[in-house]
Amino acid sequence: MNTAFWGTLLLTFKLATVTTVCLLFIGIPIAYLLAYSKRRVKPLFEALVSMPLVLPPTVLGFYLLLAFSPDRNLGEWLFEMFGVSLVFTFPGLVVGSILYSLPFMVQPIQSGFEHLPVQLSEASYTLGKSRWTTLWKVQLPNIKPALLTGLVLSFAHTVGEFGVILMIGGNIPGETRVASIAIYEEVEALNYQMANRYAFVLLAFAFTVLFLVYSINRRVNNIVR
Amino acid sequence: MIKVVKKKQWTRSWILDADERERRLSRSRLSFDRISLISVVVFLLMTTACQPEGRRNDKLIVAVAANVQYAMDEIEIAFETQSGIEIEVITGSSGKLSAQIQQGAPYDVLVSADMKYPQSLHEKGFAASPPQVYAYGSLVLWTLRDLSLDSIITLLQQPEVRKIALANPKIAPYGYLTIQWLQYHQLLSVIESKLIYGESIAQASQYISSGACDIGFTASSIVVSPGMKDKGRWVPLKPDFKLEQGVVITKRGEKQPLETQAFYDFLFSDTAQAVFSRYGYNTPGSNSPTR
Amino acid sequence: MVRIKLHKELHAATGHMDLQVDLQIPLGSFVAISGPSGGGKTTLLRLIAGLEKPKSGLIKFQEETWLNTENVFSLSPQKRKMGLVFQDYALFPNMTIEKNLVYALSKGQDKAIVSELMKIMELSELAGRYPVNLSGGQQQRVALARALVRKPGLLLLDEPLSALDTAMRSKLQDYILKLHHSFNLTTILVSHDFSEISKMAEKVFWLENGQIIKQGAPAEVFKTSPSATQSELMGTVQEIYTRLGKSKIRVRIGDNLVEVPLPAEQAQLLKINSQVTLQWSATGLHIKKG
Repeated sequence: MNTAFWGTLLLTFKLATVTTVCLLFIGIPIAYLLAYSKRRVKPLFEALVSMPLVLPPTVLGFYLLLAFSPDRNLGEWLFEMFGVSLVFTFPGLVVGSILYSLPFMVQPIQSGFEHLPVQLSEASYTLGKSRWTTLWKVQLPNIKPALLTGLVLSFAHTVGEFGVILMIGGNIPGETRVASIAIYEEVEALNYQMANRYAFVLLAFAFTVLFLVYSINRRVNNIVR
Repeated sequence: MIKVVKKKQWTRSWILDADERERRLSRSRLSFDRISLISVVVFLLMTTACQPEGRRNDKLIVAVAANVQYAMDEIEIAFETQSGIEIEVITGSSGKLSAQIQQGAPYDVLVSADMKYPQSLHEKGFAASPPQVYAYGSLVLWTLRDLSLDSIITLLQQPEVRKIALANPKIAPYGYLTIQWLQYHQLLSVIESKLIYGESIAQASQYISSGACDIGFTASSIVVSPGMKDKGRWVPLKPDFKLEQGVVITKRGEKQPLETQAFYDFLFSDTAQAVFSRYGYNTPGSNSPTR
Repeated sequence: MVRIKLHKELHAATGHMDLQVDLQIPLGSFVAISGPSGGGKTTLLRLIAGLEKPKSGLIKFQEETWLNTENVFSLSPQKRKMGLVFQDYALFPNMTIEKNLVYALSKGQDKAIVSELMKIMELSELAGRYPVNLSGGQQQRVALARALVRKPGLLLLDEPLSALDTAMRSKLQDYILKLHHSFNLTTILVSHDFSEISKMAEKVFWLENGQIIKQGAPAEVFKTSPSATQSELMGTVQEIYTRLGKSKIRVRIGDNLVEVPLPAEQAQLLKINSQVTLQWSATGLHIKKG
């Protein structure tokens, strides 16, 4: 019983970590494009990125289920080509979580870029540096608070994710049974004590992680100042 | 004038949970101030314009286990025609519904998928009287794939059957029944890695009917329901572990004794029992096998 | 020879404005661009730097073409051999002073230039400090040094000294001149300060409403009277006193406040904040409006 308990919690944080790291690499380019693009279609893409905010999680989960079911379209192709299934598997949860937490990573970073004085980037260009170098050496180092916000929000949001996982998870212990699902299940089975135990550890761990992150952030900034 | 208002309880409760959280976060994150202001106003208008959850006192709210919802469609119409009493049907997994009743959910009657949950309600003082069996449910094995169901024990172990759906045994009686059947045939440890747990018999059925799972265990009432009747193929399970499905009137339902009793009694009437029979249940006192 | 011919349509708060210039700047000279605010000076500098695109134009630095809209050709700012000093310095907050300068080095460039510039600008002790811990004057010196690390041919200065007090400004003007000569730069300075321009620039272009209204030596462009034997100062009226038919005005000239006696009729023609020119010659002190 104990191993199942800790295993569930470990799985939850594993999902949150993997999702957050993936989102960092996906989110920065998207945020960059949204922040610095002057095209007229920009509002269209901003709306698309924000969609997961207004979409009920179960709707997203449902459409993912349909899209990746192994007996049709995309799901079938994926399985044939790569032997990979995105329903009822951990990778499937990661994909679902990435889609669902996308705006939580993109929007803070986009805001960070937008609030960065444009002269800094321009100065870098006049010194002969490419956009890529400017991004890594000037822009990203100076929006660290925004990056941190994106990381924290995405992580926290994924830990609490429920609707999407309920639809495409299948509640498989060790694979897709994360804490939020387990708590729901224990509540339905009227095992309130068990549910409380999950919830407490989850909250305590998440709080510790966030506390550490903000402490480190503060220390880093103090050294600079 | 018959007004039938049906809500899918099992999808609704977590939409409120997750969505309420989402709406709080989204209000501070949307970058268009005006659009977020407008959507907040629209949302508020919509929620205040909707019927609140707390119902008017003349309507009966019946909590119904997921597997019974199809039979209940017909029974509901028959009852309303006959008695003139309006009822509102909320479906969900038996576990969730009884948990909600214990937390004060406004249900007058619980039509459960087993005896354990209504029994527990009675013991804890949430039910007016001990539960009574209104029907016996049975399991079937159902698939939408081109699979032969002649020898299912062997079939379940085949590598081409990658995912097997069932209801969560912890919270759904049919799931528990499934595990019992699997243990009886000493299959559980063999195929455990292929099992996909649905939150309720309804979700398990959804996994099967959408093709997300290759095959799965569901209630006989679901495969004979109008929507699913001609989809795929199914066989009843042997031995036939029958599931005693019980019904109770809740403490809240007691406050409207006439209406609730009328409905309760109606479930045992010939009309309703015939409906149950048609939907693959065995009925108390009858020996007719499931079709 | 630096050839700059540009046309750009600007939309300011006041309405539509056409920026149209055609200048030639001899190599190695020090020129200034001045004029009222909103006249297009900063935009002109940014166009030369390549940070903005004109509707049409041609920019040539000696034999190198930086911009030729007829051939749809435009060099990116990265490729233009110029250094730009921003009005707000734009130092990178995440790097120390030294790292700010090292960052500017081109690939394979000798690092010695960094220490050399730090020595010239007297920044060596500040090498390990971050921009946030420096004063305005120090930051400006860093910005200047950084713009020159790549040894550009053209130096563009966008009102670099406007936020500094007079003493610091004077010191920095000396630095700029020193660098201009040691590095053989062609320098374009945007400034409002007449004395500054007079001190440093050989030629001034007066840009108003997007057009160059007048150009020439600073003394010619700023003076309203053609006579060269007069001395004069320009300032702004701060206060006007009238007592017993006699008047005194207080005029701010640079950082100084001077009191000038005036006949009352003349004083009446003046208002607070009006620009005046004080001229003195053999015939005495005269005050002129403008």
